[in-house]
Amino acid sequence: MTLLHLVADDPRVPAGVGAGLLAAWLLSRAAHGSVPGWIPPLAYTVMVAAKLVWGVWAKAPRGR
Amino acid sequence: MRRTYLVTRGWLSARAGTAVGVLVLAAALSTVGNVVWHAIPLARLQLVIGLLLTLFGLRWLIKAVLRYGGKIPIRDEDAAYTRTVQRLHTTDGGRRTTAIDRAGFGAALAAVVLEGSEVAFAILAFGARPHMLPYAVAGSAAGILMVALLGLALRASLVKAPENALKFTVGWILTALGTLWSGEGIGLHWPAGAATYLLLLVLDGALCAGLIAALRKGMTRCAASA
Repeated sequence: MTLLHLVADDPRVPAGVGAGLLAAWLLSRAAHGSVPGWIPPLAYTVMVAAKLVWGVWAKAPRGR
Repeated sequence: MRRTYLVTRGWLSARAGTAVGVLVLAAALSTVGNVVWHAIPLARLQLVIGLLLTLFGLRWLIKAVLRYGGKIPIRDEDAAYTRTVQRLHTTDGGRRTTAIDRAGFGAALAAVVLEGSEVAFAILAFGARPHMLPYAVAGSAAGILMVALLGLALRASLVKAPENALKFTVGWILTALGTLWSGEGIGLHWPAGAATYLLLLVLDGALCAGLIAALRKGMTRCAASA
């Protein structure tokens, strides 16, 4: 399985994880005084967990 | 997988493909791997590898959860083995000669290069931290030895291996580790340090258990209302 397969399988999962990483990075850059230090890792963790839930929900066949 | 080629195409092609695959892999790793290892800073390596681990892990985890939840069928390894054997038998009329045939050679070469790349990837990922490389190499070598011994002991396709359980476990570990590393790669400071890995494992595990239970409950409700 290559990276291409990963992206082609469902581009929204890599996009979502990437967006979470970017959001966490931006938050950590702003963390000097304005945002508590535990917020960026929590935000990233929540984003990955959300992609897991969303991935299962989106791929589950309906009506069975 | 390699045994499938041995069974259908003969030993010579599989051995030749394996030998060339090992050489290709060694050449690629000694050049590209060396450059990657020495030229790229640890944080960037952690970011890239962590992100890849997260994505690979999520993909496997999502599929395994859907299978446990009854939403997609558990993969039939026996049927997959039979299909591969049939495909290889029908390629080139299924000749088994003493000469090297392209199908057997190519299949063995591709299997060794692809699977070997995954092992190299795992060694890079786990050995990226200071002083961890020998442990990563030793762990991978032990894994390869175990698979070889299992293959010799079973002398058949790995039909009885609990494929979904393996995929779930690997996906679970990769997702947690990938989240930790990709976070560290962008400079995040995890509150519990390296122990955060265990917390992430617990979180992802609980989430998966909840998802599986919800999927099964949904299936039961559908069956009851039908």
